[in-house]
Amino acid sequence: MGYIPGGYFPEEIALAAEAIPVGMVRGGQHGPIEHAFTYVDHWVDTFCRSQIGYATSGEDPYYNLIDVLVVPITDSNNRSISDTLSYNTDLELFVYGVPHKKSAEGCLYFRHGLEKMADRIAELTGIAITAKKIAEAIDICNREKELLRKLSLENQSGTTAISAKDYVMVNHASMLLDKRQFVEKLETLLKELQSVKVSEAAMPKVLLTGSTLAMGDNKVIDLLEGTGATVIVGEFAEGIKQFQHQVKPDENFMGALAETYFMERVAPAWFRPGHELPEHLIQTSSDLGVDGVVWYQLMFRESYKVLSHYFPEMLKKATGLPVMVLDSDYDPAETGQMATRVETYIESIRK
Amino acid sequence: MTEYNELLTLCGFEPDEIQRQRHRIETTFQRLNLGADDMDRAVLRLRTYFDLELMGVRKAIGVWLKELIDLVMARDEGKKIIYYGYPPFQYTGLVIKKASEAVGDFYVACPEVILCETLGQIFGKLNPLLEAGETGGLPPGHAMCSLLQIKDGALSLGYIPAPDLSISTSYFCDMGPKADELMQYKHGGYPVEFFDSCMDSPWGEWPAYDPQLVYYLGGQLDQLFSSLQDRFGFVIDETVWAASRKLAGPLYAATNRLNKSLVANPLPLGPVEAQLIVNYPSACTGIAMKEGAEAIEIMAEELEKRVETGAGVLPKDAPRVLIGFPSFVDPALNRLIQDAGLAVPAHSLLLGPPR
Ligand code: SF4
Repeated sequence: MGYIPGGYFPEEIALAAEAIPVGMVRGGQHGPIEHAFTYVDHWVDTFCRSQIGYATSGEDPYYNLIDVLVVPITDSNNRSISDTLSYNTDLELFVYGVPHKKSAEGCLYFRHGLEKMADRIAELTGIAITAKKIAEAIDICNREKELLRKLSLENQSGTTAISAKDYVMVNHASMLLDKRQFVEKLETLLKELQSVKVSEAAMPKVLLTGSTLAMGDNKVIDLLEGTGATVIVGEFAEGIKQFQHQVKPDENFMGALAETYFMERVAPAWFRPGHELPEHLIQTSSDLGVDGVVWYQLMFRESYKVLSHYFPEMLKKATGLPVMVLDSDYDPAETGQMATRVETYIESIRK
Repeated sequence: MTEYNELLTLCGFEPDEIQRQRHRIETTFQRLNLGADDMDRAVLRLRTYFDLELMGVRKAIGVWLKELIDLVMARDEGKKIIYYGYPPFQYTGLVIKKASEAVGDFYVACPEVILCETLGQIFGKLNPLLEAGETGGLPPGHAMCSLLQIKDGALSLGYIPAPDLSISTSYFCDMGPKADELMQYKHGGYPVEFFDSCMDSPWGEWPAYDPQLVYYLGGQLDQLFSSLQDRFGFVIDETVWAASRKLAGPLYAATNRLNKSLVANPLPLGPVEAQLIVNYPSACTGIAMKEGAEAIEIMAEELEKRVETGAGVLPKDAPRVLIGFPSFVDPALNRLIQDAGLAVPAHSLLLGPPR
């Protein structure tokens, strides 16, 4: 079961029905973007266009592997994935809506979508989602979340041996690897990291946030780490697995899943009103004592683009910290300019 | 400043009406930076693109100008102002307008559409608004919606007043609600209500939509109405719904009458003129309900005469095409379609009876 990794697909449901959840988390390459032009115009988010490119290329191992693609409809960009692929390919699509307002009614509607999806998955695998199976799945996913949270504390510490790039790689792996094996490896990794500490760098510490950070989209992290800056990976709407909130044990497991995945996570910029994301980033950046915030957004993700116009002023007023906004279309041609901007920015925030 | 007399007369304003409204007209034009050259250009545009032989068309253009004046003057005239986004739910704006009458003088409309129909269609002068929108947070080259650049630009330039409430079309695209938040941030922090839904129906689901989605949307509407009650003290109940339907009745009746002529061959009306009608019910709740309906009645009568005599805007048997959604910012585009020899008997709200 492929899913678009925007944080609104509970892997627990797939695992409980003995399906294999596969996060369609690849990105950062220009080829699929060009391929997607045959099916969709330019004015769609870069990551979403990439998915259209991968899926229609016939050459992507992940898309060739899946039986169904689940697309939680968060905004019009995700909708373009499901519309384009269901019209142009033989792939089975399953969509459900993610309302844009955190409310009891919104949560109920989201839960209704999860229920519809659970029925379809159970039908596909022929395995009923029993209370026991879902409790086991919730348990293993909670363990994974807790370990990912601990790993994020390592990333935030500034004294860890794991680079931000590798930290992101591990997060991406959580959407692709066998859950039990991944959890075991993650435990080992955390143990290893406990035993090796590095001294804090003299270079600035920045919080990296944005719309989507896909697997293979390393440009921004490479450039930032290349300057010697410490990069703390913060909230991303897509690409980075949400791990801050565990699913509470509850007989009403769909309700509990909806509560965690819809109500508890930080609302992405396309929520309305969208004040939760800037408030979260203001809080996080002052809690972590960073020297600056890098806002990395993909082209044509309108909700992020619009917020990026006034978030820097909000953050400046609240914390005095400067924001650097970077736009990417996964285009190699943008790298040079991005590198100059990153270097200048880091230089400007050096103490 | 009487350089607007020719334009207004062309748009069916009566001399005594111009006299009575002089102050409002002049304040509006001054605020919108419209001078003598703009009036001349507007007259030229109307004569170039519109079928001014039809008095109904002239009146219909005049109604848009009156809507523009009401929009620009709303704050000066002490009204409470509620804006709603595009595309609106039919009747939602109207029912709010009707309910508000019980507690005070409210201005309720979709301002960006009124600006398009007037500063766009008539004056050809949207660029300053678009540019202000582009520099104010909706930059060019990023697929930002022009309609919202226009709204933001108009607020930034002080062309239109900031509202007491903005109702955001959170049920449609993502641009609208996000731009509404940007404008809220920039223009004094006025309240915004988000009327939400999900565009999540898969291919093939229509017309059997998931009833849960309908409940969610309906619940959002209920919440909007109860927050309007909390904020402004007016109630929307069945009686108000019925009254608001009556308010729009003449407009729809006139449109239906006009629609009947659109099955004729040759077609008696062009897309430039037909477009004038489409946005009355979606963007306006004020003077267009009465005078817009009157203009359409006149147009309908004139078209019936054309049909009787076999007159058309194009030769008989010209290819007939449907426009899903016509441009309402520049009549040149719709004119181009007609000049290419295509008859447009139907678009969005103008659906004639089957032949
Ligand atoms: S982008 Fe949204 S607000 Fe703009 S015209 Fe389209 S639907 Fe309307």
